[in-house]
Amino acid sequence: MAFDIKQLSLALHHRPLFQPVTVHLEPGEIGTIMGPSGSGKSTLLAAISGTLPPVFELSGDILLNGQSLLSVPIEHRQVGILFQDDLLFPHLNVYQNLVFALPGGLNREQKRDRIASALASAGLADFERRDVATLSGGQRARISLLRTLLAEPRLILLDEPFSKLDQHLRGQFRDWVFTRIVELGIPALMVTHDPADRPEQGLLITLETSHA
Amino acid sequence: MITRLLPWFPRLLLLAFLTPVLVGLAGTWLPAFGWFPALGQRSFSLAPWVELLHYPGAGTALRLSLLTGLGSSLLALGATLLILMAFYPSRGFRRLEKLLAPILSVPHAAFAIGIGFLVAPSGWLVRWLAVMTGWPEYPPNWMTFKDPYGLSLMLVLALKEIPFLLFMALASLPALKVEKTLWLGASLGYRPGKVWLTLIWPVLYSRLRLPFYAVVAFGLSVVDIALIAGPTAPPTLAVMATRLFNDPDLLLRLPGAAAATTLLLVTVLTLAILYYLERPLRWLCLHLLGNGKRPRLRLGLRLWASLVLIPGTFFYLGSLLVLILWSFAGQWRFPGLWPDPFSARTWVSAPERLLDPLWLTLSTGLSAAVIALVLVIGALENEVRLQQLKPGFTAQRLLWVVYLPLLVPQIAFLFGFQVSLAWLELGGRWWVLVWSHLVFVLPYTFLTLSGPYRAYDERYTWVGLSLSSHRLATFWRIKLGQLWRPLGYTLATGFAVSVAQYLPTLFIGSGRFATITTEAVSLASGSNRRSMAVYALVQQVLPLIGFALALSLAAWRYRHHRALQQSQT
Repeated sequence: MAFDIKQLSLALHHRPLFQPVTVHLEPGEIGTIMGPSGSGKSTLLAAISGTLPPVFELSGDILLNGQSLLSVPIEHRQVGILFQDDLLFPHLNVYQNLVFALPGGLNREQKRDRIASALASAGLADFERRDVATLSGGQRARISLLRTLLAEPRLILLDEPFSKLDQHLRGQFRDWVFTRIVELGIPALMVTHDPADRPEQGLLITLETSHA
Repeated sequence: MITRLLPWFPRLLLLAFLTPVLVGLAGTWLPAFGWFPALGQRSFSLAPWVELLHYPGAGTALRLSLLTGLGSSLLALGATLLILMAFYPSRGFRRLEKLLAPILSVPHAAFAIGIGFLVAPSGWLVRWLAVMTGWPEYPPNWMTFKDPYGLSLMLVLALKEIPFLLFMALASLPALKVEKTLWLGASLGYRPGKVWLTLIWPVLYSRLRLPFYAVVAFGLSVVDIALIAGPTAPPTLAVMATRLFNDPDLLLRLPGAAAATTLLLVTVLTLAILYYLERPLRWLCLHLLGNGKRPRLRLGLRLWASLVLIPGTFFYLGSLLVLILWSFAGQWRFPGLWPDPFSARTWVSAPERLLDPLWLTLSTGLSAAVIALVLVIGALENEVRLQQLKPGFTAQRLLWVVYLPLLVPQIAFLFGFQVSLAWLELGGRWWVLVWSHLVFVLPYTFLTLSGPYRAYDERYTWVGLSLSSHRLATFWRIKLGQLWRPLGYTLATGFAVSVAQYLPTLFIGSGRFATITTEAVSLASGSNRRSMAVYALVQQVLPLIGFALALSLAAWRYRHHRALQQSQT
């Protein structure tokens, strides 16, 4: 499950946001995108996830496992997104939040098992019936990641996922996220401002503003 | 795919509420100029206008309409400003905010009937006076209700509009950062009064403009309140037009059409004048701002505002109380303060006559509210789609279109709509009644829902889509699942608007449809106060049940979800 960005550039009103980008990520590899504010980092993630407004002109290609994602609508891309806000659905409890992400075709028993073991793996066993509003920031962040992973994505995008967490939670949660991604063997792409977020020896992509 | 259908929703929505207005306007203008084939009138002329001009009391009727409509609107606007200046922002205000929805849902007719029971010569107020001072012994020969000057009508209208304007103002005020502005002004040595008038009010007014215009248009052309609380000989122009339209002499429909069109012209002119007055007033504001004067005098704002708030609250509570008393009255002689004896007779005998109108009120109101909700959600969802295609897209520019049915006097197009329906042989059908209610339910539904709907964080949708690979499930379970509160509130609002409709029911049914409202208004011209009270109470309770149901359903749905509970906001 390799991920490729080939000579991708995005432009608004014919003005490119950054120099063309080429990236290759192997399964389990985590790439880090950095660059100054306004260099188009989040727009690049939007292009990959499928939420790019059509006013942007896109050239180049985005390939997952050799297949282009560009014509695939967001709901069929199987690209998981993790924002800096956990975006847990406030009207659903922990179980309902997670079960929404599970693929169809599972029976009740299987769904329960999967969710129970996912929660246990995150140190949150028996949290099923909890109201998400009563959880701590760190717990919410972990559930948000679990939810993304349970949907069995083929690629994970992380949009400054750690920036809202406390300093002491941050390192711990970061290590946990990276471990899970490596375990699952899917490529991941992360946008961050903090150089410390970058995994050691991980691929670094620096977006450079193109001056017209 | 459902996304393909989305662009049709706004079109359908516009079609649904603009067709009756446009067709109806044309259908009123033609007879106003002498073209009414159904009665054998096939030549264009100004004869209907001449006839209207010579119709007894027409000039006075127009003057009364202007006085009561414009007077009550300006009073309501002034009172709103005064209350805001004195009390916003404060904790008491937040309490008041919660009371506004039930106050707003009080139907006009019920409110006017209740006020009548309070201020009429044999009303509760005079009874209190009589009991406490021994005078008068008999109901005095005063004209305290339905007075020929339209003062009681003006009072009822103003009282009914203040909560609406306050409600609309409260929706925009958070964006104006009142507290910071007042603080900034104070640090420069200005008293709150001047800061409000020069810095806050001009901005607030530009956001209140459309609601205020709707209030003016409503006041100029209202029929049900004017029938209950307005003068009778002559009545206001809107009531006069309604009478002409329903006169046994069918040919009087032509001057009736001219009267209705006159009302439209007067409304357009009034609104235009208000619009062009804004510029000099704004200039005055800026001039005041720049003169550097820092008047020391205390305005006693709180005192003045209390002089509006306390009687206002008294009228709302008192009218409700006196309605309840009358509905349970066996005998209630003057000057007794309480019925003697109390009796449930009117309530016991009510169901047989109440059930049919009640059923029609419920079925029409619920249908209109649900249809409006679906159309409005579709239109707003289409806006989300367009925003996704083109960031920064906003439909706010089109807001005045939504307000159109609220700015055009009902009487100016309902007759024409009725005539067109008769011509198409569609008169008297239930679904046409629902449609005619939709004309007014749709705008309010849109105004109520658009705020919370637009505030929804679309990233939830993106996350939902990327997780579930299912558009409908994401929309239904994730988006609508989070919006139960505004959705329920909007449904209740739509229902309340439909319940309060008088003229559409009267015109579309040509008298064949009887709702609680039409029954209450027609009873109000009689003398059976007990039945009047029962109908007015039922009319008043229906919307309240709607709001209570909507709120408790949302509270129940989110009982385990702290983030969505009311106390959090």
